[in-house]
Amino acid sequence: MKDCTKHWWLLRLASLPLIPLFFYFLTQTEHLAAKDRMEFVTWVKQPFPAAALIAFIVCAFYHARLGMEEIIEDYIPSAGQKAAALLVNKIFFFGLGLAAVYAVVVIRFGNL
Amino acid sequence: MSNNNRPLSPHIQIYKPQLTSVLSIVHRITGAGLALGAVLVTLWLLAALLGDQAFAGVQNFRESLIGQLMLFGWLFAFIYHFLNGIRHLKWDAGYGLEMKSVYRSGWIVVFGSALLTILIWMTAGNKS
Repeated sequence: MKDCTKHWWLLRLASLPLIPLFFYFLTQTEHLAAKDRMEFVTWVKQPFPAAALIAFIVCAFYHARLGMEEIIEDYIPSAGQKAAALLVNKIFFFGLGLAAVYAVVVIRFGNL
Repeated sequence: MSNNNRPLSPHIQIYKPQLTSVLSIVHRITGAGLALGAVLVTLWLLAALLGDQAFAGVQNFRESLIGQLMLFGWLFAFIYHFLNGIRHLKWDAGYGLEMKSVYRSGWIVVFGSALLTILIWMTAGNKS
């Protein structure tokens, strides 16, 4: 498969799990909006919310990275700057996703 | 190696904005906005991990005027990108590509995202 075809597929593939997750989080807005930290932590410590959060972070952040790649490819004409921006973008969303997943995992299993 | 000094073909300057083109660029703009929102989502989760003070800081920002504006904009972007994304997936599967259908689904996205944003904003426990 050509790289651009693969990119097209992956962007859409990553969006699919976000459809049921969207509806799930709609039913959880009172927990997402929790003002009290322990209230929020208690919610994240449950297996299903923790798994849903991690699935959301992985799919949404990956989808965001791929989408930003399309924007970078369309609007940065210079090949060098484009390659640099693509690299920064990749590292940025990878690091961000790692930090977010780390937070959920430690809240879920840690002694908070 | 392509020439970087090539002129761009005239596009935004010359075409009359229409529902299809406006919805298309809004999909991209909301997508970029949501990508930035990923930073805030991460900060929120890290704050919950760090401690009461950090989490209270996030909540205070959320309840501020700028925080509420950002959250409202983010909610709209999320719902719009979700609905229009489903419209795109339908096209990718080969359905709804006739002009009449494209306009009908376009208006459904416009009214659907406006309605859902207001409905969720008013009902979802975001009371300050």
